[in-house]
Amino acid sequence: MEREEIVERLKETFVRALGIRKEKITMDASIVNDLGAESLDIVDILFRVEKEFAMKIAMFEIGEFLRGGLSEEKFYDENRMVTKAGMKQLEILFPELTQRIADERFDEEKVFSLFTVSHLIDMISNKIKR
Amino acid sequence: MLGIDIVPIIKIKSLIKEHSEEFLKKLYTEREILYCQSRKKNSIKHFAGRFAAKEAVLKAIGIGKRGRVEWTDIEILNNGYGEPVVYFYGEVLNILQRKNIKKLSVSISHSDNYAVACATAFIKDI
Repeated sequence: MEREEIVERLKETFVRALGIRKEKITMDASIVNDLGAESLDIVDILFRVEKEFAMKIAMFEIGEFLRGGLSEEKFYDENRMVTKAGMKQLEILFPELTQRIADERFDEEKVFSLFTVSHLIDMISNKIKR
Repeated sequence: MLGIDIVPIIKIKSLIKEHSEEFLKKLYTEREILYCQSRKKNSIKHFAGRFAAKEAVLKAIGIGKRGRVEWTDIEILNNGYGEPVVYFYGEVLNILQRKNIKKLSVSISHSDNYAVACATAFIKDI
């Protein structure tokens, strides 16, 4: 399946799950902050992705994706804040956020809000290739 | 440790209406489905309350969205007094052991529009 087809089908999925206009769904839109998805919406979106693309993406896989290979223990401290090693990982994954990462402290919710439409497309695309 | 969550009842209603039984089975155990469906006209409120409770439990035990946990690994049933009782399965059991959580209590409430739940995890038996 071509990336363009994944994009189109995923946009339709977002429209149905969130009741938003298609134009709002840009590649760099944060699924939580820009598209307004709450946790039940994410469950709904992942269920629809499962049906649409015949694959399973679990919530924890999004967490793994955002940690970029770093283990939970190394990425988060005991207060669920991102560690220094975790922040370095975020800088690699999100070079455009270097300044923000330097200025702010990130907790789990904030990390999750970095997950964009484009990231979900990457995950779907990677699973299709496999 | 404390966890709280709120769920719009209309959202659960539309998800259950739109999706198949498969979706219910993704979120709820067989016993939860039977219990909620037995509440007839109020079944949607009970499904919403249970989902809020599962989210609250995940927050209280400190794993949020990170854990390799299935929604059905947390089962919320009611005892003879109508109080919610939580049962754990799968990966959650390992997490509870690792975090030394000995007891967990949950409270659920709902209005016409929202279901809300609060969970408290205790490190020591009290």
